[in-house]
Amino acid sequence: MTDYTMTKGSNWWQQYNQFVKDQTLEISAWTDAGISFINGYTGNTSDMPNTLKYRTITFGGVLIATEFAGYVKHPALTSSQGVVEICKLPSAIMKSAFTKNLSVTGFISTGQYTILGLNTTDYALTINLWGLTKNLAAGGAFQVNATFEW
Amino acid sequence: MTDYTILKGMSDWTIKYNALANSIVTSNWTTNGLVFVNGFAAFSQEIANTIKYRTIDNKGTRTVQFAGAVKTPALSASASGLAMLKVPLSLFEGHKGFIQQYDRYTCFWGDQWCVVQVKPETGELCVTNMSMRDDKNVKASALQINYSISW
Repeated sequence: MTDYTMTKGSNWWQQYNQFVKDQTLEISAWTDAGISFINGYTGNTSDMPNTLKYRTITFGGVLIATEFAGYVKHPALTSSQGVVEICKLPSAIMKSAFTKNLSVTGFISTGQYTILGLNTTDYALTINLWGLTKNLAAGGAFQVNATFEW
Repeated sequence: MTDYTILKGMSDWTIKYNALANSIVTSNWTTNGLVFVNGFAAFSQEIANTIKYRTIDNKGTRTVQFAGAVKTPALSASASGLAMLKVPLSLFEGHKGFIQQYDRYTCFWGDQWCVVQVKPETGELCVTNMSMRDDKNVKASALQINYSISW
């Protein structure tokens, strides 16, 4: 474990700067850079300021979480589609490691729920449609509020 | 990325240090300024766990977290965007636009789904009945909230 202790007469700013480098939390701006929709999904074309975006949280320069928010428009949906990729993402915003999934429930319409996830080998945001109890027509918008922590 | 580096002999190093020391500010949980409306009320069965909020500021990023329970009146199947309580508008000052709404989906006692939402323009914390039962009316009960909103 790194020793950040300052002592009288030491070059104390060196310990300080190392502490800052190792233990500073940084939250990026929300962005849609590098999001590439597939499988019939699109951004929220009727309200682009609130289309799907992400931001990253790093601690000491190490990625510890990626947050998603905003809306996505879906194609026609049936539960038999199972787990489908919504969009491709930059590889740098995720880790292939044990993941804590937070706030990943997505309601598409009343009583129609899905679970969002990450595919960290294919670098994609996924939607699990097995929870649907009826078919849905194309064009509906649903909100994403998912966070993934490592 | 914010540069907090201090160099040897820097005259205004306190600016760098103070920026780091104050980069994350978390308030206490409080009920200050909460006003219940439309028949919703504090969780009187266990007032210590009635709904409260706090703010977490990381430089320009604000998160408002809500936790605790609310007593709910009977709600019709069509209850949508119904205000439960008002929160101080000052919580949202200087924060507009794109948000993440964390853990919006919850259940009334009795496993009937609902979705909560805050309206930053009015300060209203609202609920929409999303029950999937045949009878979608919700009896008077309570609602545990674990919702947060982040800019």
